[in-house]
Amino acid sequence: MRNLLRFIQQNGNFLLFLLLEAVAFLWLVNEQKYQQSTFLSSSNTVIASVNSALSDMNEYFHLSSVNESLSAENARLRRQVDELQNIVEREQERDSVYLYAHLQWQYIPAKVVDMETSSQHNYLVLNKGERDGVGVGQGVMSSDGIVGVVGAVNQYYAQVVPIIHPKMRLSCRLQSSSQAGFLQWTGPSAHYAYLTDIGRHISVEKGDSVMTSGLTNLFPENIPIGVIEDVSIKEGDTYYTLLVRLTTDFGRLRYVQIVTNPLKSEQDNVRTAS
Amino acid sequence: MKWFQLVIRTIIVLFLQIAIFNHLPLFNLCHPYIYILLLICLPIMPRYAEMLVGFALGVIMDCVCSSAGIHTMACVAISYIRPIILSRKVQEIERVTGEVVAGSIGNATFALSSIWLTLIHHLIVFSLDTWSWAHWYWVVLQVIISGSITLACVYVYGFLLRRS
Repeated sequence: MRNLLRFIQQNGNFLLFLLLEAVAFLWLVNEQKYQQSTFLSSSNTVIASVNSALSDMNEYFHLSSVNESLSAENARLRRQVDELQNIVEREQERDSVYLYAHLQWQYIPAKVVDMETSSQHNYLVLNKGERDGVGVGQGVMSSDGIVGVVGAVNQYYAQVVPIIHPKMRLSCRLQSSSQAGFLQWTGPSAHYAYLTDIGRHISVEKGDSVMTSGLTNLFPENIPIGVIEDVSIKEGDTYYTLLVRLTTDFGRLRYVQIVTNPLKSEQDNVRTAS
Repeated sequence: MKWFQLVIRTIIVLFLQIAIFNHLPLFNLCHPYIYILLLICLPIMPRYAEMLVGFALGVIMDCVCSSAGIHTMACVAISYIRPIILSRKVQEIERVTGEVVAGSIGNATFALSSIWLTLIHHLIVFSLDTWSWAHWYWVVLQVIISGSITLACVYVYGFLLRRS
């Protein structure tokens, strides 16, 4: 007993060092468990509001480029509204069910207040939370393409797991062949990801577009994700290794839309019932 | 009074880190963690106290960066190692009062110990963050680029701002 006490007395600093390192290491390896807890992350209200204020300040330096992209988007949307209005008017006369089916997707505009896109622990924080109808598991997209999925949410802020996160696996398909696969990111560049599960019997061309598949209830169909940049396959492999250049430029991301699906519970009900 | 100054300095450095240095847009390569100058220049205290300060600073940075324990591990490590490095160079380290800067422990010692501590801290942070050996070149590149900027800030503080 006395020996033990003497040992602790003599090596106290080293033991404290080991203890503190062990606490930090446990925090690190249990990261996934705490991802839901907004207290220990940057969507914590105190930290997020500081970041939000800083981002307001920062915004002045990006006004011109943001304006440019917003006006471009405006123009595109107005054109779409016109086209859709024509279609709706025509369809309304024919079929009243049509309208109901297109109420499936709704969009909540949000601003990025904090972002990390250059490590393996990438994340985004948005200035919309439970109060605005945001929930865990909803999709997030920008005017350029898919951004990610809401991973944690508190009353005022939402934290997004982007598609450039190693734990993310997004269902998507090739535009030319409609072949479905999964988008996976291994890093380190925020501009590239890989498309997996495309068999070698399918012909894949460089420059082919990768779109959302519509097989999950996160995103509507045919939202752009990226463009095939490189096609390769190893001798004896069944699946291609497809390098995808992402359409979303995470470095310049300022405004996004959160995709909500009011019919999601209906869709899930059908799935569990069958 | 001295403690009051220390707290104010800590707040200013953390603000600079979070507001400016966390958002430097340089090809996604540049992540200088200048906040470690708080640990490098920390006044000499009992070793357990230095480690607890490092732990607290690491937890704050981890909450801000959503990095779950990575900064905490790196900060505790350099807080543990600093007295070992310093006591090899400076005789009677306990006599050093106030901050550990160029003026109090000598130019060469300060320059050398800063290099070691910055290198160790950045190496731990970037390799834990990458969490695989497949991208070791990326880790080395980030340590070199971010580390030199951090070191420049530590030198500006330790050599110039604290000259008196």
